[in-house]
Amino acid sequence: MILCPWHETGIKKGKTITLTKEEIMKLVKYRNPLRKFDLWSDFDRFFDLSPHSFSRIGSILDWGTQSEQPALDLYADESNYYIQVEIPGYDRKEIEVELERDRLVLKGSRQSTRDGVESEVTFHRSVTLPENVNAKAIGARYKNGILTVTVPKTEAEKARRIDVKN
Amino acid sequence: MKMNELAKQPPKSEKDNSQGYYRPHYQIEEQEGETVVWVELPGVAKDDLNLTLEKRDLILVAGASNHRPESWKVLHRESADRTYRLRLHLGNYLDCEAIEADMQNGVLALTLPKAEAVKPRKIKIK
Repeated sequence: MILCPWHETGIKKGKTITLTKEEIMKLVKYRNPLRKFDLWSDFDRFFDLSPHSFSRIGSILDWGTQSEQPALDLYADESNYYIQVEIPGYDRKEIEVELERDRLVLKGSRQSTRDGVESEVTFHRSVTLPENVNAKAIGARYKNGILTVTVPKTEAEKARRIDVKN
Repeated sequence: MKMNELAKQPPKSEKDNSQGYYRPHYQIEEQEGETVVWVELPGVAKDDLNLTLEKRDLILVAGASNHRPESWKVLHRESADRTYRLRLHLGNYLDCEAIEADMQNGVLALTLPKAEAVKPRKIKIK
């Protein structure tokens, strides 16, 4: 993630300011145009992974809970997209997978005891799905501390892939 | 104090210096009659976990068997394929013979009962 240079944000330097959500998004969402053809950022834009830093701002404000940023992987084969998140220690019932329009939200909360003190541990990641998916047939599975969400591609998308031969 | 004793790593042998091992996150909880160690091992199945006891050193080696089919193409990756390794030196106050291990949802719970000699004992007053 690259932060936007100050002079491009329109925010005056050296002043105590309160940023609105939009302004924060403007800051964290900025990407260096030189990295336009970078593979990683292309995928990032395609799936629009929620920025880590933004959720971290949230976790600082929320004193009572401990927020986790688990590692997220994206895979694909001919028929499906796969989203995998490493979240050891949760019970199946403590995990929620929700679709808000085209945004797939993965979240959960569990109780943790540390040094005899009970606290709540939560995780939150989200991914914007591409258009060519069958959102009604999304499936999720939790095994060995890894959540795998399977997002089937549409029939049209599967058929679109044509092997190019010599 | 006792927690430090348990978590204290013995001097590293040459073998331990080999590359590619990852030390998992773990947490120690002292309970009345036992000490419980929670080790986070995402992607590790029960069969991929190897626990050995060398004298008073408990050695954990586990490969994340988060085996994905080869047909899955990587689009974006934040996780890493890891071999986990953890070496815990067990203090004298623990009973090495009675260690219990339970793996659930990618978290290993090691229950180490305290040795009879150090357990609090009620003394009857006549």
